[in-house]
Amino acid sequence: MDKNKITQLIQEAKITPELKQELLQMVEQEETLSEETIQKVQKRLASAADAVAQNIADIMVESATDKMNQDMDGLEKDVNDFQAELNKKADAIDLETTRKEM
Amino acid sequence: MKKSREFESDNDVEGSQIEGKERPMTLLEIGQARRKEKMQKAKTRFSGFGAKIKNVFKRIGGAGNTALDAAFAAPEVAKIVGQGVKKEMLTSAENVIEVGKAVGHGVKVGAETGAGLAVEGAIMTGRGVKRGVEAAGAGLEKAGQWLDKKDLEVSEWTDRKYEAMGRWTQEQWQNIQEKGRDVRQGFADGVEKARATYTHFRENRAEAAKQRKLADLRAEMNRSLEAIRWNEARYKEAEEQMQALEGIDNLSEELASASAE
Repeated sequence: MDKNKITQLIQEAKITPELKQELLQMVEQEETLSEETIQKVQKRLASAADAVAQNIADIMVESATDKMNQDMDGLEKDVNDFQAELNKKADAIDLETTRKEM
Repeated sequence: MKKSREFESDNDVEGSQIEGKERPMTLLEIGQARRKEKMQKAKTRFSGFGAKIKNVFKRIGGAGNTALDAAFAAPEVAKIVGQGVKKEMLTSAENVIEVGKAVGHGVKVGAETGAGLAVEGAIMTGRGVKRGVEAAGAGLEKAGQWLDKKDLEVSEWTDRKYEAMGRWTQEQWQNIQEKGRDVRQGFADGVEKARATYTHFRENRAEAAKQRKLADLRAEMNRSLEAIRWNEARYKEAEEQMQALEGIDNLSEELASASAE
């Protein structure tokens, strides 16, 4: 297996520097690359992909939570407005009651 | 009509804002002030409740991996949220929408009525005002038939007014409850989407890698991300992660074909 080509592919890949370093170390340990090493690298890539997928799902959950928080703010404002309006209406009736009482 | 001593002392306590008015005014003002105070208390109660609920959500969402963990941990997302709220508030709230009922409860307790709804709390405080007028009539050692008659008229008028207000309140309340349901549903949908995306990825990736169909899988994940388009910052994060995924998959494919040569 062409070690140089594999090394080059890893170096040119659009992955994080940390992952790149890790993979390069795995490859460099051997003089000539064995099928086993390639499998190891593939396995590492699969777990990295899984971690990224989990990140994406987490972001989606956080996003839903953000929206929820915003909606809760809106709901709280609605309730506050509602109570203020309720107070205003009650005051108006109080006042009118008083006026009629006079 | 003679001016009673009690009334003068009432005036002193309240520091009546409108001068030169007759007796019932002061009593009404007292009732009004009491009601305001009660409503304010109810409002404060709600503010604390709302903030605590928000903290629960922040914790669920902000704890990194635990967000997804939480989404997987229970069969229904709404239940998780409900339990968080429950634990936090030590109330019998079963899900987020219960916040609506809790507010009603706050108003109820604040208004010290036996009624279960905010609308009834409002009506009861209104009757409290009316009772103040009635008490004024009684306390004045029968100020005369005129006052009784007038009081009855005013009572009926006030009842009608508060009845109308009750209808308005109920309507407003229903709107708020409806919104609360929408909020909860939106949250549940969002988390469910995240769960589905991740599960789909886990279950299909191995097969996809064999069949070189990773691009299709990525495209499908991208479509899921469209669901959070409204939140630009989050979307950017997710998009970056998608690029990272693409980089990993591309390398994986290249290695596979290189080693097959």
